[in-house]
Amino acid sequence: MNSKESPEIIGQVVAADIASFTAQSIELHRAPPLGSLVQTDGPIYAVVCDARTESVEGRRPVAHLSGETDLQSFLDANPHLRHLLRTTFDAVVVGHGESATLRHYLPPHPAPIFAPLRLCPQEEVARFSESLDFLKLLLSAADNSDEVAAACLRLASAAHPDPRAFLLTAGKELARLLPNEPQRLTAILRRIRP
Amino acid sequence: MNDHDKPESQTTPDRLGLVVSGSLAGGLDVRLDSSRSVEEMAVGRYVTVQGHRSRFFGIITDVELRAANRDIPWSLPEATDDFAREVMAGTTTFGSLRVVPYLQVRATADAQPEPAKTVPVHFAEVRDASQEDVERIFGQEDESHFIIGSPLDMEVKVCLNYQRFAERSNGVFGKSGTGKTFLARIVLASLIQKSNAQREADKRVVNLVFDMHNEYGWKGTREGGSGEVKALKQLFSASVAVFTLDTESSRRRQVATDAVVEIGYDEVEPEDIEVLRETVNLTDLAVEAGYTLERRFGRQWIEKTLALDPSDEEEREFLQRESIHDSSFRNLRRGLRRLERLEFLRPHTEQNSVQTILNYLQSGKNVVLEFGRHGDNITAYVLVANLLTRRIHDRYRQQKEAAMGDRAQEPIHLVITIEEAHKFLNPQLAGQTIFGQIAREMRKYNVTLLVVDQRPSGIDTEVMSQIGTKITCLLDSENDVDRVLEGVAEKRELKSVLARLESRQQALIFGHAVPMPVVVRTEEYGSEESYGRFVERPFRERLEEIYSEG
Ligand SMILES: Nc1ncnc2c1ncn2[C@@H]1O[C@H](COP(=O)(O)OP(=O)(O)OP(=O)(O)O)[C@@H](O)[C@H]1O
Ligand SMILES: [Mg+2]
Repeated sequence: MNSKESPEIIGQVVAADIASFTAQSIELHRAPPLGSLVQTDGPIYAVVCDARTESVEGRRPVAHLSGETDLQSFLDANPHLRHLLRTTFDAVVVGHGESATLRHYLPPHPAPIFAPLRLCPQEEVARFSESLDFLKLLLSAADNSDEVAAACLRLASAAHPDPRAFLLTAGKELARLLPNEPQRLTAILRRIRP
Repeated sequence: MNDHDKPESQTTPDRLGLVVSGSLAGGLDVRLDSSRSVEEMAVGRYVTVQGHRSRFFGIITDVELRAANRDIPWSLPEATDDFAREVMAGTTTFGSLRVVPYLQVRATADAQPEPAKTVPVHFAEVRDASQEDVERIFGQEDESHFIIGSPLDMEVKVCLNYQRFAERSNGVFGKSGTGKTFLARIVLASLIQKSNAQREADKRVVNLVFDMHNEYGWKGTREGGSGEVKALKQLFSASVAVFTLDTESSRRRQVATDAVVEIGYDEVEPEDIEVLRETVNLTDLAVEAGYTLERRFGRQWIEKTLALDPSDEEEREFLQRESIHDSSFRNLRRGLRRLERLEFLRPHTEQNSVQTILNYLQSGKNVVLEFGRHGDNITAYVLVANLLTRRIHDRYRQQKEAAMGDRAQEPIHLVITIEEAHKFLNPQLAGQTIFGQIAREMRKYNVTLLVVDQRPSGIDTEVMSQIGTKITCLLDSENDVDRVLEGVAEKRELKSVLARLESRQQALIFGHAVPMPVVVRTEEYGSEESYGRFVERPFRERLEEIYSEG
């Protein structure tokens, strides 16, 4: 990808295998939205499929409200808490390669740990989703893969000049991928209906 | 991306879909592109299939709704919205076409269409046939091709090959009111026009039309509209003569006739009576009695038979001697009495109608014989058509044999048009009548038939198989359809095409004069423009000839 105006870094890979990785968000509570396309070194492309915020030590934080009326002022009043918490998110790998050699299948190696992570800008989303071959990877990945796929397509459609046409083509690809699962197919279609 | 995954936006607008399975014998299954609706398709339409090495031409013979998995459409929620429906069209649910490939053109520049001997590869693209495709297959109008109509949904014209059409007997079929007469008139006018344009004598044809309902000579009738259309003599005054059997009717209809046909009893032979067996209910023995009496009485046999009185002792004995049973005699006499009522039959006439007709034909003039009122009398029609044709055919045979292979001496090729052909060509009669013989002997003696019939199931199978080109409109019954399509390779497919013709002015054409079957909207006939097609062209050509000579 063109690095002239690299998009801002939003996280860092903290665990990875070939088909997925987990990254930590730079800012607390600021994981990229479900279904968004992210890119890390490789380059490797992935779709965000889950996110969470938890205590760094792995224990469940104890609630202690002390008069503040909203979250922001509560955190401001207890600045040490930011260091005890972290936001991480999971992503399903859906492709790899430079734009000329963009591949919509799994890369030969997992994403490197500590590799920086960027949210793909609209043009890149449009370019990547020109081919819908990645839907197969998406559908067979996470537990809530149908929700992820629907979210991903909704976001990607906004990057295309004719969102409805894009969703129609994507819908047809889904129909081909789910030939024997009409209920599943119609459920996804209801979620992406323009 | 595979070709079949191409989003439809990348395909051309005339693309219909892709070949997904099939066989040469059973036809191709074509998956319709999801952008195409089954509702725009029509059985009978022409398509081309671009294979790897060849281009194929075929006809849509069926349209079907299919699903990738047969049960899926049944398990979908009732309330599928437009978007879901649109998504599933072409993925979960499909429109499919059945296409029979008929012709194949190889990729070389000068390749001619030839019968398809294989099928195109998987995922070959199927398109609507273009105007150029149709022209390439059927040829453009010229001195050896005449226009018969246009394929469904197309402006381009379909032509029949004049030579190939003329060299065999042909048929026009269809139930009442479908446009047989209009078609036959277009065919006859075209034959006359093309024949006039031929330079070599042996390529010319001349027509003899037994015009049962007075529709081919001067003018024909049209349901609704102005009610009248021009017939052959108005289009080709110099090359058509109208004969009549009924002067009074011709006068009343203000038709200028060229000759009146009368027939003497003494010209009628027992063979001419035999074909009437069914129409006047003659028994076999009565027919036989006719032969016996003719041997006995000679040419006067009818008159003398009618004068016989079996109550007279002597005459009864005479019949007994000839071993003619009384009931057979009565049966025969009753039959002959029905002929007595026909005014064009005289005890004797000086004119020789057969010779007159032959003289016209041999000078290249087409003859239309109007039956006037007698057209409603099937006995009169069968008797006259059969009698005249027998004599004319006889003379043709003599002349052809005398020519001994010298083409210049041969008689000009004659096409005889008969309506209600099953009356002459039914299985009981086809073996005996002259028409059955002509149909079977092909053009051995330079005579062929144009049969027009609304009940082809009544026509003998063997005769039917000799018919070169069949032009068939919608038919009444399954039997008729079966008989017309008997022996055709793609019978089942064409059957569904035939069954779906419109009830008027549409026809399925197949056989000798076309490289592949075609459904046409018959050329409009009856407007000044339609007449102009027949008149202007030879005139213009003649002018050009004059100028080029001068
Ligand atoms: N080519 C045509 N051009 C214009 N009109 C046509 C054409 N073909 C058929 N028609 C219309 O259809 C009507 C019926 O056609 P036609 O008389 O030829 O039918 P048919 O099959 O000969 O009927 P029948 O069996 O009763 O003799 C005509 O009167 C005319 O109005
Ligand atoms: Mg008619």
